[in-house]
Amino acid sequence: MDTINRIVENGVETEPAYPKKPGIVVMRRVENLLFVSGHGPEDQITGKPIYQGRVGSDLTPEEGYRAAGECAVILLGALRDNLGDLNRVERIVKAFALVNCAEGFSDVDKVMDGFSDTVADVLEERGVHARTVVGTHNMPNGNIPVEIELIVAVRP
Amino acid sequence: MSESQKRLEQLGIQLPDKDRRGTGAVDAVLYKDLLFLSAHLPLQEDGKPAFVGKVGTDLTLEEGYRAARLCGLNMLATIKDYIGELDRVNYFVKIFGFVNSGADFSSQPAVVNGFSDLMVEVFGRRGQHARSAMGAFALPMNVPVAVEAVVRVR
Repeated sequence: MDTINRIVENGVETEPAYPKKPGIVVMRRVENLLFVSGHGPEDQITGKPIYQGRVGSDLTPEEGYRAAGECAVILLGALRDNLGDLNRVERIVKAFALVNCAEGFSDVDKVMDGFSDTVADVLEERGVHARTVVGTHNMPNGNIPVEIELIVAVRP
Repeated sequence: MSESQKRLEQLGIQLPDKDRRGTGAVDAVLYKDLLFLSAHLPLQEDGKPAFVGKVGTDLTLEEGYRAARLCGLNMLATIKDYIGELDRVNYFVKIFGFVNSGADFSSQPAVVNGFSDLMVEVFGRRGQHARSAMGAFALPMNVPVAVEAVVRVR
């Protein structure tokens, strides 16, 4: 099972409570590139959203920034879980982000800075990445505000 | 605690904090022979958008096409900046075009052609690419088009 989704009850590994989608894995490796599934700001064990709503109406841009920062922590955790150690990350190559926007809100770059600032802080030079940020109007799990997928280069 | 950290503490030295905010995202990342380009916007040289608004609502399809072409020009400048010389472009692999559009607009491919046509003009068959185009609800700076790409270099 995906290590990030592993929970231990009474010393026995069990599947998480929320239903996993068939066919989906957290990440797939091709030589030294990792393709990481989109992650929202959601509890990784229960699947419950930590943030919900559209930026510019339900959430302020500052909350959107923090939600993107939460995604960074979740993604870094998934990488650490999968690789054993974040030192095995050579660099973040590219991020693709969807930001759930209220009508009229277009400061999507500033929301995504929550992610980019966090990975630059944690991974320093290795956290510098190409990125695309697009605004949308409907997102999964009760309208989470942001979802981010990655391409990551790893050391063999 | 590391040896260096202990030494700094003994000396009473506190290093200033490095603030890396705003430094995480760049225009392109070269990984082996693949150049991953961030979404490029239809910006003027002064950094301001040459076009704002939604295609089909605020802008015509023709303006959207020209905006997409400007995304392409800006991307070519980035590519040249990163690899030194456009001859080093082997071929375009894939692009993704995002068109800021209202609910009634579905000619996104015709808009993104502004980008695709430019690359074929400049590179011939090497400029052809796999492509997806979609309608976006919002784009940075409220621009009408944004295009990202993966390019193979030689």
